[in-house]
Amino acid sequence: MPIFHNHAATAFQARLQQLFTPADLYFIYAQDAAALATTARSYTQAFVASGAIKTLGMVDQHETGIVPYLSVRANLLINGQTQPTDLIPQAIQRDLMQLDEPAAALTPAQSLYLQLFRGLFAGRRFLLMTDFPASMTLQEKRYFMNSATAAVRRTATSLLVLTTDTNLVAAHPGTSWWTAPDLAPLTADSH
Amino acid sequence: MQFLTRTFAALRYHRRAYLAEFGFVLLLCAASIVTLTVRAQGLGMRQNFSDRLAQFTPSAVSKAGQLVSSVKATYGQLDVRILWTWAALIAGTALVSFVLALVFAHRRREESLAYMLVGKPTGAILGQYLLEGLIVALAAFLGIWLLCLLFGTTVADWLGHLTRTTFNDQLKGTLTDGTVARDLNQLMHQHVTTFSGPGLLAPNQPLGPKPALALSGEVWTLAAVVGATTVGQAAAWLCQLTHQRFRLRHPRQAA
Repeated sequence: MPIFHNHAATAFQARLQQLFTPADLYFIYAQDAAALATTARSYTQAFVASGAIKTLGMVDQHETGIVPYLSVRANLLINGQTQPTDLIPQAIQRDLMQLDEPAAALTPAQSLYLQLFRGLFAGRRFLLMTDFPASMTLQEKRYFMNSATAAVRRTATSLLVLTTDTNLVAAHPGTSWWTAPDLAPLTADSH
Repeated sequence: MQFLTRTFAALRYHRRAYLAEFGFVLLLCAASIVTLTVRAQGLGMRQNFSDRLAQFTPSAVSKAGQLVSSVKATYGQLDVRILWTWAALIAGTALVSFVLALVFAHRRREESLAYMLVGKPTGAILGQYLLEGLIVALAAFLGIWLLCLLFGTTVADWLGHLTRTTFNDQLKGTLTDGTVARDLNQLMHQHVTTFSGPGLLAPNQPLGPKPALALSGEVWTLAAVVGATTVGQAAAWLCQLTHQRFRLRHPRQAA
């Protein structure tokens, strides 16, 4: 069984590399919130089943994984630090995320940044994001995407954004899917 | 270091709950030390009784056989009763700790979920929570130990009086005052002693250097009360975390 598990894990990693390389933002369309949740769950379970859960970080507006009594800095580094602190641009540190403040009072947008950089600091190869909060304006979304693009390219991480926003998917034709790609490894017959 | 940072941050964040735990463990440690001190005093009195009885000849002792056997039985019954009381106290500590920790674990479920979502293993989460509780329990024990140093002699004297009174009341339940007086009188006529008649049955502590801590059972209290508290908490946290981990891995499908 360990031999088959390693083979399956290797095949799964190869499939992820095939789909989400080079490191960038990838948009996956979902019809509605229920479909988005189903896709997120199935993707997470695929990572778990292939023994690759440690390569995955989550960015979620509801289940943030933020510990309220820790500072922003402590939450950022909760899984270790594989990148220098200057990964977070000074502008973000100054305007959006003061590192020594308590994490309990972050806004939904600030929470996204924290989760994004938490995953990058932990050295996660893939980050799975379950859409933007409804309270984020278009300008805020664009700023986030620009910041995230620069950060993921620097760390060779791919950010997979599940979204119900058709405009986002349409605006990135080269790195988007209208139907969520199957993460199961391709067999010889399916090539 | 991050583990300790999280632990102390959590202690500050949940200080009300941990202050309650501090008070709870403080009271239990006090009850345990009082119980074990009474037991130690009873054992000391029993030993002194045996030592004083050894001054008499076997024939003299046999003439006061009813008294001697009643005294020994009374000491035995008292000791058993105290031990059962202490055991019930420890068992109750574990049970109450389990129930209170279960309530606390339910209140902290969002926090536990946050740790799980960032990939912390159950063991690491459990370790942090238990360390928080252990720090508080040890602080409470340290508090009671300091109180023992400051007020131990006064409390020990009062407990000694209580132990003697309890023994005498128990003995009166088995022997009439007349029988006790008669047998004591018979014994005292057999041998010249340095103590009075009643001084044989419930003797004071012998003269000599007194220990630094007048109360007894500190080590047993540390092991048992702190141990029972930790075990109760560990069981509760394990139930909660295992349940949450299972729910995370097997989420309920939307209807």
